[in-house]
Amino acid sequence: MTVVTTEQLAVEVLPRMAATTSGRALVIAGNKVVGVVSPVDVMRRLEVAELRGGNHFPDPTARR
Amino acid sequence: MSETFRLGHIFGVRVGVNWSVVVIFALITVGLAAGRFPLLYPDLAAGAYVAAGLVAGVVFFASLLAHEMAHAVVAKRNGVPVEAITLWLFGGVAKLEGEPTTPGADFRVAAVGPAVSLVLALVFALLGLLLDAVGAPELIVGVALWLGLINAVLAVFNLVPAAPLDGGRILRSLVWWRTGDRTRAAITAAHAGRVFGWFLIAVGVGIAVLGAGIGGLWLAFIGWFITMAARGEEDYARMSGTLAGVTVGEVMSPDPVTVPSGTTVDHFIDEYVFAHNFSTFPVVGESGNPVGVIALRDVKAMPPAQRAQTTGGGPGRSTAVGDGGDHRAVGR
Repeated sequence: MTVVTTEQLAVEVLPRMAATTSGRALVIAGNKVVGVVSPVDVMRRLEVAELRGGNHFPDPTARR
Repeated sequence: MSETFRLGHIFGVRVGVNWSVVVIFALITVGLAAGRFPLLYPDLAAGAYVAAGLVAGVVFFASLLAHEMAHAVVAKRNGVPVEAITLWLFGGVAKLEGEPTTPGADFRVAAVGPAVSLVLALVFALLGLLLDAVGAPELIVGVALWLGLINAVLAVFNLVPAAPLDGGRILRSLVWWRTGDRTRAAITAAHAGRVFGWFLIAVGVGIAVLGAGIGGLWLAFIGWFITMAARGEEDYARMSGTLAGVTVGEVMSPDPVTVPSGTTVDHFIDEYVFAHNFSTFPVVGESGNPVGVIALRDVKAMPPAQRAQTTGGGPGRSTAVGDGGDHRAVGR
């Protein structure tokens, strides 16, 4: 099980996710699970950024 | 490439071997034992050539390991964790878990590998000359000189300024230092790698057409690998540039459906698998702390009769499913 924190850089955790069988990592904040991240999530954000024509990454938690 | 079997740890770095090493080891050993050595040192016993070929092959891979170990040790000293070193068809690779954070560190990590190969080339060359001077058997002298030559070739080839070769990393560090733009530097090195890869393909095909056969095709194959690897590095560089400063919190899927660690597998299937379109679920403890993950394939592998009794590894439970590390468990 790969566990990462919300503050870690996405580009740094990609290789760690690739090394797991599930290809995913649990995201914790204050020792609570707050999300799951996978290379697909990162790729999706890249595609969204491309569509927006720039490097803009909206906070996914802001929709709550 | 994946690790087929593990040799152990050296300086805290895991060292493994891919099955393809057998291919290149066999090519080197046979090439030396049946080609180079009988040609240069005729009229010796066949066993002597085979033994010399085997020794040369083993020491060559040890030299390759020293080259990669140098990268790994310097990377660790510069704050870059190293996952493993794997020897494979095209030599070796040190898998770093991050990137050097300064051009200077990037340069040091890249340059130390060829530097070690150059030192080994000098050591083996001097050893060969010394053995020759003291009247050692010519085949033994020949093994030492070949090891000197092959390490020199290894160093020079790796110094070609084309990613993913070490020279490409050196080029990246210099462009990074000059421009302050790591992404641009990495793309420049990757472009050089693609050009060099196509050059090798053209030369290799040309040599093959002219009659050198397998040697030319092998060169073209190396060129193809370099081209593909350079393209991958360019893609990664562009992605890293776009993701610069982006945190996991910004790209994650928030509020995952979590499974309490005491949940039975039957309950998990009914209430989670059938209700949600996910294949993997985080398993959490009472305070929401992470204790593992469970995947659909874990429960599919479990006999139905066990599912009602099996839980996430709570007190008194003897069976568990999932992934809490190397073992399978919903929540350990």
